[in-house]
Amino acid sequence: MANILIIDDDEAFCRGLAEAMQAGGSQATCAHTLEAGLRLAAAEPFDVVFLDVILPDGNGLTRLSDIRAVPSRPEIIILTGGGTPDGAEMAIASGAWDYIQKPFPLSVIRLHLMRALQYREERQMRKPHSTLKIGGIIGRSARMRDSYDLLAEAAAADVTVLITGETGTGKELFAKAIHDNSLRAGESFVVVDCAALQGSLIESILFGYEKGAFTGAAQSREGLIKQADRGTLFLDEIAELPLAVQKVFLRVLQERRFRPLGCRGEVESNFRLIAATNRNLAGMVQTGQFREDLLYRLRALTISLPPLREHREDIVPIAQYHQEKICKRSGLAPKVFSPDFIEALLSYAWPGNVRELVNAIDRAVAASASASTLFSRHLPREIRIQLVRASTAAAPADEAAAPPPRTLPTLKELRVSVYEKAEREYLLDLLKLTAGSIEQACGIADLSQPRLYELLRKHRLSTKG
Amino acid sequence: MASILYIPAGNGLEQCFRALLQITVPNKEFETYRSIGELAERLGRPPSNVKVAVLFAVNREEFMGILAIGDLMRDVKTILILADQDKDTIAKAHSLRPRYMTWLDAEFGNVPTVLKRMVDLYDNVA
Repeated sequence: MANILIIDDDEAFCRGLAEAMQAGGSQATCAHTLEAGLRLAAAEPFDVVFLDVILPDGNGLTRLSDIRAVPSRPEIIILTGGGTPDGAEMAIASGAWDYIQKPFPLSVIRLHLMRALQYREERQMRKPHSTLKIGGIIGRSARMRDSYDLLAEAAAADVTVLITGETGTGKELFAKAIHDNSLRAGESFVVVDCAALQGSLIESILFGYEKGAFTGAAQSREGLIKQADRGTLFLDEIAELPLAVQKVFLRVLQERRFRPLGCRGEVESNFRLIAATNRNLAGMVQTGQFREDLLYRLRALTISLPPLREHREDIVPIAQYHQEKICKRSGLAPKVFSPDFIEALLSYAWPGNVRELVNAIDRAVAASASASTLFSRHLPREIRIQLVRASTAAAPADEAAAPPPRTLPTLKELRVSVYEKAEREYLLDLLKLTAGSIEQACGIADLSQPRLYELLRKHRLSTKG
Repeated sequence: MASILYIPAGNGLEQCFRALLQITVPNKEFETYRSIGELAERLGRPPSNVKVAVLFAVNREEFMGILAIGDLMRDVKTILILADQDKDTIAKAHSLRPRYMTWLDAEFGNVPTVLKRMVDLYDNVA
């Protein structure tokens, strides 16, 4: 029997949907505010959450990650009366199962529920994350756990995998982890840097060549495709692969056979392909820079790694892990993070993602020398400058000077804005009362530190007053 | 950011390779290390800031030494120059996840071209 939570402020709608779910053999519970829904989701193991977008105490989409992060990791189906393409995109990108516009017939909701439950059952049968070998990949956020699900799926199936994500999100680490958790783990993991190897060089390196095949081919060389036989071939930055090589490689991918340069016979190689890119391959297909047939082949399973700004709750654990690793490697005692250091880490945008964060920690450890605590002043200068500039630009404008609104908001919108204002005032009072002490503030407000920092960031407030 | 050249002492490779570097990446400084101990000490010291490394494994012993400190080079994009083409050597070399691999008998082949590209791509990344 599925356990379902409905978070919607329309009580009649909630009651109707709950009755329909119960008639279908599920158990259904209702919550009419976001906070009440979050409390219930944290306390009980729900399989599916139906989540409204505009709720009296906030926007459901902004707390979607928090709901996904509760121990039961429910599937979330967004139900909204005012759907927009941007909202739908945000919901799916944040891990929602589906985004459904109200009103809808009950048969539609039952179908979506059935599919979500089926997916959930299959997901739970997969290798648990705790048994995956994911050395060096840190993060327990809902977004990262979604990525681990796909990693486990990729490791179990011997299919071609495409890993996408911005620079520094850990595409190579994920590729290596897929290899390490697959049946090919005992064989070679062969990296091909398509961006660094240009022109005819990549062709000769991939396919290998016979002595005398071209000027400079003084000896025969085995290509990387052959070296990956029985193992994994990792094509990093595959978008940079020249079109002519894409065509030849497509055939290799279909037949697992190829002809080294200058060789009469063909060579076989039983490799598994993992490709990675930070570029939009579908867009490149449109402009003729990437072969559509190759893209279809690559997309057997796609893992899109989230930028760090979309799983900020992992920032401190990642920083902590690398700080300890760097200190251990250098023979130093582990250092403590000061509250202002944590605040700085959480406030910065990290455009270079995890790689930039790790480099910043490396430099902060070096700058702190023998000090036992890391303060924000130990962070690289360019990051501190960015933070100061952002806080200066974000100073609240004189609200009294704002022009009167030309139209009235809806009642729901008004409720949200009043709630936001009250929340900001509460936080200001909290910071005054505790003189900026995060620990005390968390105690009084009954909030976790990450949640408090998130709220401070949302309202652009600082503990420094 | 730093780029590293690991080239063991006592052979004539360095002068020849440096001449090539002078042509392809004239404005790039390379920190040079001549023993595995020195290299390991450098990579383990924060801030490592090392993005690109060229490693000459001139014989089996040097190769095993480089393999032993492989964990310190997880975030470094490496060019690996090997002494032999044994299957076992090549399989072990892939555990270092080199971005380009070539052999001493290729007289450095395309190393300078690939190195220039790697410096352009990775050396200025945060």
